[in-house]
Amino acid sequence: MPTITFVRPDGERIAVEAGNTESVMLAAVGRQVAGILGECGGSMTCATCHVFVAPEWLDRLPPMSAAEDELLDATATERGHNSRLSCQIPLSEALDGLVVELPEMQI
Amino acid sequence: MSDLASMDAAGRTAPVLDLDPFADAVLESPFEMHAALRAAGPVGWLSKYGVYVMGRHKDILPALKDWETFSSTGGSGLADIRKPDAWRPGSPIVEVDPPQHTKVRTALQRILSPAVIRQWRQDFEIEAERLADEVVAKGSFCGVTDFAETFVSTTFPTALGLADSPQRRDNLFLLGALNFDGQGPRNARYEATQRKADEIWDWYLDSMKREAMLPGGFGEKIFQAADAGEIDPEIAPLLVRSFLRGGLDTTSSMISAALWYLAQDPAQWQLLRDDPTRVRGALDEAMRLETPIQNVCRQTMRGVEIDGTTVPFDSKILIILASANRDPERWENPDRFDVMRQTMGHLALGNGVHMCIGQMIARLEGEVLLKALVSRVSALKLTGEPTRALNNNLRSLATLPLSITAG
Repeated sequence: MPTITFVRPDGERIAVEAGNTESVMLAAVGRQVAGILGECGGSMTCATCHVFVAPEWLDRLPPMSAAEDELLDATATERGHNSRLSCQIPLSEALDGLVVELPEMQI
Repeated sequence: MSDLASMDAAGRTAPVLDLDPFADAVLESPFEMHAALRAAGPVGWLSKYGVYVMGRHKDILPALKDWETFSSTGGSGLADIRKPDAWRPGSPIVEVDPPQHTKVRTALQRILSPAVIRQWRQDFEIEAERLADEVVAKGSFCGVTDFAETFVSTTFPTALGLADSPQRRDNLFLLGALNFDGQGPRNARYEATQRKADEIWDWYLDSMKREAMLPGGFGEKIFQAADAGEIDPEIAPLLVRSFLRGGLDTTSSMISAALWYLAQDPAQWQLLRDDPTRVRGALDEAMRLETPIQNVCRQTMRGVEIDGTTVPFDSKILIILASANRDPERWENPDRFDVMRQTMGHLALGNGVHMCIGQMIARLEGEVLLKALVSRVSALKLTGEPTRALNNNLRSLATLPLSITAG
């Protein structure tokens, strides 16, 4: 069962057991991690599950689709080189230890 | 159609259900019918309309995700839009599947991107505050006609870029009623709405033309996407049409339902007063319970087994989203309104590739309007029984008598 760490803008770290959820977004929402909204449920309409991925993890995630790339241009907190939509990061044991930072704003 | 139509090759049959989702009494209160549907199993056969029907969350969610099996190309309503004598033309976004759908959806997603929608926030907030001041000054008001409908009929057409006119509000709500009545059977309710709509048909046709779109609205951007080759030019007016017909009633139904539930439970109102960021959750909870668009239809592209019952190839299935949204197997205390509930997984906006593309505008409208009221009102009270506006597919209130205590 992978553990994922969410880091708030103030530096607070929240580690969650991801369980059998399908994506990093669903793991966060299921554990009520404030700062991940996922309002559209993963249908890539809302851009409210934006995260900044810790650099050492970036290359270990599945590649970004064109649609995700485009939606990242519309996030409430401006994207960085390490931005992803957490609904597009499927969970697996290989992601045990993943660290992502939360943006200041999602709406 | 014969009841034999519900029998598959192996002899298993979906139970025949003598239910009418479009009868007045059911539209007033569909919950008993929902319970009967869920108890009947994964899929039933609606003998009155000759279609299959589904009502359980665990069957409906995967069906909505599987567009290859459960296609939208037969039409989102009961009518089969593929037939040569179809009485309703298809939508170039709602009633197509990938790959055509992907191209249109991508272009529209760009036009309705969250970044673009955020640019409307300030305009919407100004109107919300003006309107909230107005109802607070009145003390008692109708939550539907004085508030929810006034707000969405001002903000949404402006964002679309449709010029204001004395008839704009009434005409748009009539087109909304037509759209959703048209998703049900061709019954007396639909015919009456169509007759009324016939009187404004020229206005309707003119309103989806390029020259009707004011600069800066997303209507104009739809035509510009056609100029850029992102979508075919002939579908641009049809996309504007989708917004004319689908953008107002749904949002106003969500807002007035939220007010109705909040007015019945002061503790829930207080939760919003304590932390107004809870307003967005309250709106999702209202969407779950009210489910403004009650049903969607899908057409099977192959014979498919749904939890042990086989539905043959090319069958129409009426998917009752509203039933899934109160399915006790999925939701704890399903009928209870709770702004703190984790509502993800409700199906009021659909799911999968066809999930509502306008949801971020609807959420913004609801958020700014409710927040404006929450910041001005210490208590919200129901002063009479609300009444419903009956429509074949749109569940909404017609009147909602409210009074407020300022503070």
